[in-house]
Amino acid sequence: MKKVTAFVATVFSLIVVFPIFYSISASFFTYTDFTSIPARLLPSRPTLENYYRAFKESNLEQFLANSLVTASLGTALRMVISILAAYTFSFFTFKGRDVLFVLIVATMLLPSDALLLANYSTIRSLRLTDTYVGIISTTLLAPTHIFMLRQYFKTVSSEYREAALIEGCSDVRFLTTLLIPISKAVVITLAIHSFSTIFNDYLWPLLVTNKESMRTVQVGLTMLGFSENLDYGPQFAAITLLITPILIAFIAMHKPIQTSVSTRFAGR
Amino acid sequence: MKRLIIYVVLVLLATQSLAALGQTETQRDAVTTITWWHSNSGLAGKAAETLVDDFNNTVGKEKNIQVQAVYQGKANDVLTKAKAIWQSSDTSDLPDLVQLDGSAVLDIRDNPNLIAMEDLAKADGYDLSQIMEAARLSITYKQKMIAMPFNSSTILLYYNKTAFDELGITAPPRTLDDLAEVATKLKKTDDKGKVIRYGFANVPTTYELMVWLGQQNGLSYITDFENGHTGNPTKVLFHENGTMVNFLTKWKALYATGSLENLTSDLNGAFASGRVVMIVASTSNLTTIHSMVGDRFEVGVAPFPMVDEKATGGVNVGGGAIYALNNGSHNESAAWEFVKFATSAKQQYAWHIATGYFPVHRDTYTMPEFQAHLEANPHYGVAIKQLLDSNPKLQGLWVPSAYQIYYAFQSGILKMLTENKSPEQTSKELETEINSYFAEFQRMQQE
Repeated sequence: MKKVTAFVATVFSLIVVFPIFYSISASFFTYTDFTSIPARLLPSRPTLENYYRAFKESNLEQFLANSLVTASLGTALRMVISILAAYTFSFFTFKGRDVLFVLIVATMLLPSDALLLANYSTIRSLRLTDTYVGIISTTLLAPTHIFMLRQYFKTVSSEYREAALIEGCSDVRFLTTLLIPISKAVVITLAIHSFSTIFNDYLWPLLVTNKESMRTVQVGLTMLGFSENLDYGPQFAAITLLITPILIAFIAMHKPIQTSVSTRFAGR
Repeated sequence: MKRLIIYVVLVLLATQSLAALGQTETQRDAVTTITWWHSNSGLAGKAAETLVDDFNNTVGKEKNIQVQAVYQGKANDVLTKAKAIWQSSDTSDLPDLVQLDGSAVLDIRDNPNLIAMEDLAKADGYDLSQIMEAARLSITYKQKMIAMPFNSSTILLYYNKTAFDELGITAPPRTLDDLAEVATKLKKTDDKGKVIRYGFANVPTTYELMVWLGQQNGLSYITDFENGHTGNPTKVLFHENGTMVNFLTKWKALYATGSLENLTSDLNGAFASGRVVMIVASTSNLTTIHSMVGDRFEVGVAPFPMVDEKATGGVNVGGGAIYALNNGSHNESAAWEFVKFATSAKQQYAWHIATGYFPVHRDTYTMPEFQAHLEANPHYGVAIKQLLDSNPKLQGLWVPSAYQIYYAFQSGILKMLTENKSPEQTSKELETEINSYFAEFQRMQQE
């Protein structure tokens, strides 16, 4: 049984790792490596040319900076909103709480594509196109995050909070010094997930920006290639640069992520 | 600390929105700014940049017009974005000019914000016959040229000349009968009888059938309303006029030789690896195919094979065009100046060299530089001669449910081959299926 599990796990991880490995390898390809038959797995002679060209042929550094700003800012605000909302939903009792919670969770059912045009109209009438706020605003409310955090917070007995409050501890202090540290695994997992989704978003940032200086890196990436040309090198170089920070974050944080995935969010 | 973070965030947000406000104000100078949305990336992106710079430094400077080219993602994304704006009540954010693909025609042609390019040309006294007729008609709807053809291409036959030479085949096939004969000779099998080299690979879709059906008897329409160029099509004509049966009969005969591979994707790769000797593909693939093949073998190109000797219609023009939009700024005459510049003989020459799209201005073809270029690159010459010899009235298909129709053709033809159905039955079934899509569309329009 153990052998079977190991085998299945190896197969799956190879499927996941292969595209990452290939894009890193392809970022060092020469032009002719892309057209060689049979296809190559490794570069014939590694070159940094693609990286040089990716920066030279587009404002990649600007695009990267925009993506980092929107993804960090978006993640930070999103986490703050989600944590506060989840805290309220799990520790406070007030009229209409459950209805409100169901309403928020119900938005998970709305496909984001269906909201695209309506959101665009809103952002435009608020004159927020070509701004960071415009890019991140629609991602700030994350019902999945609220849901998962609430389920996790519910596993913490409300007696802790009551005891803390009796000792004169405020809600903010309870939240920051006790609740968040014990929910670290979930918080970190959600934050990384958040960061990578905002960082990887393509259509929305494209829709709400017009100025090249406000473009995010996913949009910038498509500028580097031409569908009728096989000059994929600079694109792979840019892809490698994009996946590196997220890859590092995932590797560095794999322990908490593992914990949070193996913890059941079923609540009590 | 927390407060500090909040302040930093607020300041960041505020400066960004202020910057956006400032931008709109600086645009109200004496200079007219024209925005052009496009999807040209990579090589084509650089060519578009050069084009805009050239304009801004010459004609634009003279006439106080500055063009701002904005890359808006892939062709489909440009349409999504334009759609998002014209579906909202305020259309002031629309660009003055937008470059869209052939597939966008249905979405834009009846749009109230569209300014027909023909009207702009007429207002300027510009003689539109300078633009190649086939290209002009490719974007003509209800007798009006609604946009300016810009990145145009046609379909070609690519063949492995080395393989031809080895077998002493001197001329590329002219008709589908020739193709079947040549393909049979080129087919190679191993000891066990497994095919290791096919003569030809294709499963026809709308892209190929527009030509294979359209070219028959000089000119045949696939649907009523002239393939949708004079109104929304209500029924297909290929069954009653017999063009589909005629084509399918030839196609079935080709398949019967065992030298046709039913390949639906990566035909370029199959060709470049030598597994398939002949393919048909867009002229815009010329550079790609050449670089994929490298020095493995010599590539030959020839006119797209005719269905039979009577199919003299040639090929149609595909590709994208530039549309002018009304965004309330009344800049359309300035926008026209740029369109005129971009499609001038000289600029179309530069655009062709950089991208491989063929020039839409007739005078480009008589330029000495262009003649010299064709001599140095005879493959382009084949593509261009084929187009000049074609019936300009042979035009692409503008139909609703284009996606379903594309797959209806593909799966219908595959079924005929694998389930050994008769061409008559297949043609009839395709007629019924596609007509039902049209009927559905009509119903939706009425509601």
